[in-house]
Amino acid sequence: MRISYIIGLLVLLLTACEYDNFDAPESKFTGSITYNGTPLGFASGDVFFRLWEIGDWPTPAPIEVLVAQDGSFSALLFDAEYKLIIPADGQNPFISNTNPETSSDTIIVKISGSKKMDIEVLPYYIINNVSYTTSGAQVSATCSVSKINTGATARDIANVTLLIGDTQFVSNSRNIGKASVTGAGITDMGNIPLKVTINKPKVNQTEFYARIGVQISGVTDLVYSPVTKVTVQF
Amino acid sequence: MKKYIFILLLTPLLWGCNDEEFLSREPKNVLSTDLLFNDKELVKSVLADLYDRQIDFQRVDRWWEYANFDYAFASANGDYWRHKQLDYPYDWWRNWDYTYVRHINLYIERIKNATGLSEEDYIRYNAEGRFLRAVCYFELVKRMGGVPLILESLTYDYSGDASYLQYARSTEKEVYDWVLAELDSIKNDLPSKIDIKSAATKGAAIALKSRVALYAASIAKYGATTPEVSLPGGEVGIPLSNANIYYQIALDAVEELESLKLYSLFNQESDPSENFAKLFLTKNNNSELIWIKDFSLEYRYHGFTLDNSPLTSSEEGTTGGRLNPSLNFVQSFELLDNSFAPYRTNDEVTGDFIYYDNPGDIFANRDPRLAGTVLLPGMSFKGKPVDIMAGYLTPDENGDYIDVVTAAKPGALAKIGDTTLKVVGNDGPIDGYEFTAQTGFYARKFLDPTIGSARIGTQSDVAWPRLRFAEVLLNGAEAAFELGQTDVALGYINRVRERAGFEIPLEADDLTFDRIVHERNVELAFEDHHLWDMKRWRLAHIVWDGMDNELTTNPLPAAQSSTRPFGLIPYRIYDPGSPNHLKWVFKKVLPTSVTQPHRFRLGNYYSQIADDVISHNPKLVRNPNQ
Repeated sequence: MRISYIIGLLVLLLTACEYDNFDAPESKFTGSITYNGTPLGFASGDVFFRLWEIGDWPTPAPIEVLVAQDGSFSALLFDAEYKLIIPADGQNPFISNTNPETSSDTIIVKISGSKKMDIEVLPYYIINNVSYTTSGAQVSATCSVSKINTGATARDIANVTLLIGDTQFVSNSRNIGKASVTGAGITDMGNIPLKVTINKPKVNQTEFYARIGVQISGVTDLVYSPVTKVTVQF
Repeated sequence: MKKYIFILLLTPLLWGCNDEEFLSREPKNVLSTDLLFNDKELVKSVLADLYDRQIDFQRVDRWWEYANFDYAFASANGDYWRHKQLDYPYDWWRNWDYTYVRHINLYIERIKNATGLSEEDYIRYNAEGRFLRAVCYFELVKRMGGVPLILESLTYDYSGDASYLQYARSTEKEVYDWVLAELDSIKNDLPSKIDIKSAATKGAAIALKSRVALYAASIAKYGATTPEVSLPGGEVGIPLSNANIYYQIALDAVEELESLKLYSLFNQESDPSENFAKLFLTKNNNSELIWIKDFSLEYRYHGFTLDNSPLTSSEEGTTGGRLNPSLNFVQSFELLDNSFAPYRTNDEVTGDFIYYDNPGDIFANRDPRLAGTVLLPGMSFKGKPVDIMAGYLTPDENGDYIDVVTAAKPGALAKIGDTTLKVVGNDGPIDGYEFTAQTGFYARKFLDPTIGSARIGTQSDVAWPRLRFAEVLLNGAEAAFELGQTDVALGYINRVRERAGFEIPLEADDLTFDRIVHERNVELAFEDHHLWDMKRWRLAHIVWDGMDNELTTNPLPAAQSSTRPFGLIPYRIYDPGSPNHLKWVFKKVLPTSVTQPHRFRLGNYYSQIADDVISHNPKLVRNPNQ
């Protein structure tokens, strides 16, 4: 008698409905936010985009994909057609390009199997020719900043900042030292010098990470140069 | 045998009853709509429920919400996360409580036919319902921008198509205009009595009108500085051309409230700090409070004092002290000569400490509201001096006071040389030790000195001020300042400052936008104004800019970064034989639990409308920058 109960219970466990039995998503969607094919740098988690699966869903909700600090992104998705939208126009250090297919900033992404796709955008500014030199505990950097968006939506530079981090995640809100020059204080856009002296940390550390960020007036997020390891001596 | 049992079991199924009354009896535990609305006392209870469900953010019974910004630190293990996350989520402090709107609408519709109410009662209760609905829409528009204005109860007809219930968002301006007009049209139906504080009165309607108009005006004026925060359909943003119209409405409302001659600033104690603290503890014969959320020890009490009294006067042993005002806030209080300065901890030239005889000396000659809002080292609560001392500093071989002797538990002993003494105060501060004064300060505003207020079984009945006269005067000062009527503005702001304890009035040259911002921040601190003020002045993204900047040394300018709550903790010198022995010195610190600055993004100005709300109603436009 008891055994038949147990078998009955086991049978219940074996049956489940088709509805909630499906495979996990396994198509990998990767790429970078780029300008002329070169990835742009951001602070980790600043920039994100939304994917809306096209179809007749009762309560649609987007998949949010965060962009890493080197401009790359990756997401595991189901095979389907998605609308890709980069929201937050007053937030990002770039403007979305108009997509010829949709005549708006929406991009249609067809996922079937893994896919690599870069998203071209129009940044307000880009940072080039970054070089670092160290002497003792001082890090000196030079860079050039080029204005890319010169149209009606162009914006001024609020400041250019050299940021030093003790981990490889460096941003204007996560750093141990910084020095900046305001947009008005820049004399030569082709050669902007910045210097930071690192305070000796309590732990024994001589390798630090540096990058340069450009704050654009009226825009929350900064655009950054790639993170570079620098070695100093105390 | 089995067969008989089977038949027996089946027989009851053959019976049914044909006595219909038996099935349609009045329930004894549910009041029907008819019953509810035909009895005055029951109508009152429906109304009380609507009062209770008002939308609030910071409130006296939610101390933790005060610690979200730069004015306070949360000294509790469960709340350190507030200082460890960079971004404010887009959905924080959002609200879409259309259930509440519907219930108010139903209330307004149903009391219309209520037979138990006299004509006089109906007029008042109807006006109170409409008042609450206006307050609700003001709270919604503050958070979300323009929302659909639903002014009647909506009913689904079960036809399978609900699209006729989908309403688009009104513009932000339309909602503000509607709230202002609504307050105007009901104010004369409300009682005009000073002893009614927990219910809507004529005074409350007029005072609220001054605030609503001021918000609309500043969104119009300062919204122009952030053109990114707007929507083409006007759901977010008010045209700049309307600014002066709204400032004038605000100013007129302040004058109208004055003409009632009901309210005046609270002034019952000769000591201005005591007077300021007492203002929030006094419910009866308080001429300043216009509208409050009341509490009672019997039915509805709150744990503000339980959670926040100093450990030295904790009535439950080891709990209290959660809310620590920050140095950012404490140093923003000006000196009695109307000037601003940070606290002097070190000599500007030599860098040596400045040695104080008493721990409170460093705070001398400051705005008396400081000691009325914050418990400083050297002050007492419930007759017990707060014991805030981080440790002893002993001289090294060069005679510099660098070595710190302290302990890891409040009030713990340690040895210095051969002497054993208490090296850390009973209130801390100990970095990372919850409930100690980790910024060096405890909160005083709303802290209830009644015995039992910090006991779990008793707690506190200190009221939450929703509207008070000083705010209305500051509304008037701001509106008049923006309209260029400097004399009028000076009159209002100086009345508030005189009550606060300033003897030198401000002159026309002193009155700047920064002054207006500063005066509101110190007078109305911890009264749920800070976030909304920063939003409407479009200062939030400048002040909480996500930069890990050091604390400013000039506290007056409004548009400067202040993203992390700093502290100022006292030490004593242990150096027998030296004139500095047992003197007090101060160090500026950042609690180690503060790992991230605050960043208010442009998308935070108007909270995100939830995706499920939008997918149910495609007519709703998303808020900008999210």
